[in-house]
Amino acid sequence: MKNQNELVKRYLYDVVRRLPETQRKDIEEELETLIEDMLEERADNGKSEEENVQEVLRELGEPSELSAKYRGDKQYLLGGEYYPLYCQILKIVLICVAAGMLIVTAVDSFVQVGTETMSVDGVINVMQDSMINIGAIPSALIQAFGMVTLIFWFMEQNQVKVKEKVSWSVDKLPEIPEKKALLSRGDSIVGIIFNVLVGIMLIYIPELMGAWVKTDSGAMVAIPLFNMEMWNLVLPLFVLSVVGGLADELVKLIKGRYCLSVMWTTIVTSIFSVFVAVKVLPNPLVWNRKFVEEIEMVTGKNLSEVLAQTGLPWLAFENLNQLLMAVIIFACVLEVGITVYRTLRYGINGAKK
Amino acid sequence: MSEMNEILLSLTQELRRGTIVLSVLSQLNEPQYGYTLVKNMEDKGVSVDTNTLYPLLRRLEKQEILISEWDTDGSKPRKYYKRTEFGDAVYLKLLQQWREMTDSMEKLLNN
Repeated sequence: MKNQNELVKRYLYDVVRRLPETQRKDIEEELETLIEDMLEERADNGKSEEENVQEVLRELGEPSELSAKYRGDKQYLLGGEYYPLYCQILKIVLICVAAGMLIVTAVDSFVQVGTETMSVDGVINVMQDSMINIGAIPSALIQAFGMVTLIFWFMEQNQVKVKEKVSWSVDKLPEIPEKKALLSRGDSIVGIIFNVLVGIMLIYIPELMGAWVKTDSGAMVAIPLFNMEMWNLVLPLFVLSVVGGLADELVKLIKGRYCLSVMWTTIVTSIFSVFVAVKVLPNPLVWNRKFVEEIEMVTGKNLSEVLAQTGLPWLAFENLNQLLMAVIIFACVLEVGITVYRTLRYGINGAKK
Repeated sequence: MSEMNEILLSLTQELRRGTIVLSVLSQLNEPQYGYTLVKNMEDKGVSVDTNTLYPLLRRLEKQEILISEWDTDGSKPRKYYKRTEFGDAVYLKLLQQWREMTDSMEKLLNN
């Protein structure tokens, strides 16, 4: 008998410990009477007391489930309201984390191979390092997954509104967009990854942006294109420009089609990029003045002769700023042009079909 | 076949779930003890899991549809539930809904 009582007590404890303190005593007493009555009912059924206790407790079911019923709380982590957005964000975040770490690892090992003398030991060292870096990717992914989930769980618990719920009406149904007004998701995601990678490069490995040349001993050396002493002044502008590009791609991903908000984000971010390019690139202080000198020192060759031989004399260092500026301006103008044209032509409600 | 049984089981459960509150309310014009309520309903062919009914009674009490009272006269303390005045009104409205629904369903199914 004592053992059986013990079992019931343990069951009751397991149910009420998950309940608010104020309700515990009441629910425990109620359930205790219930169990006693259920046992009494079974008293003469020929089974042992122990069998009956087990049967009754099994009928009442798992303690955690019973207390959940008493609490009446949600039996899920994320409701349908947030789930689609959660999946979308999760996908982007995981892809960015994995791709970012892979690229950084690749670049990192490349640089190490460049600096280490090319002995077998050196290569093995570098490979081991990359394996360790790659090995860190799963835990980084889990971390990212956890963070995203945590944020959404918080939103679910507090019913944070993602977008204002406007009362639905028939004439607010979206127009079926013209095929040419649709923006490909894949493009936006590639764009996002690209921007993230450029951002990582600008922030973490700016000294690798430049010429990669072989020394006499066969090792690779990176000669930075930009003046690293001035980099801290320039970096914020570049990063802002990248963040702008990222925002643009995000808006495109969310909207999925050309429309006014996509058009205006593209215009504003492009103008900013052009502004940064025009403001920063012509300044000679930004560039590594010893660029040509250093390359020639390492390779022992005359750079302008080499360029002339390869038929690329215009690729001289003095022209680089204009070249880069031209590329950026051209890309921005093209992007804005296409966006404005497609938006006005296909993207606005009521535009001609 | 077992797949059909599974589907059928979940559909039946869903159908029954909607009727639990109404069946419980119908029995509580007089104070009743929870487990007696389970047994009475079972006798009348309506089975409710005890572990569903007990939390439900508390929830209805919180919504002020039911009121409870401990009866300490017997050998052990038992908690009795019955409808409040508000509960009576809710019950009548719900009953009316049920009648209308079953009428139309009858018509629909006899078609």
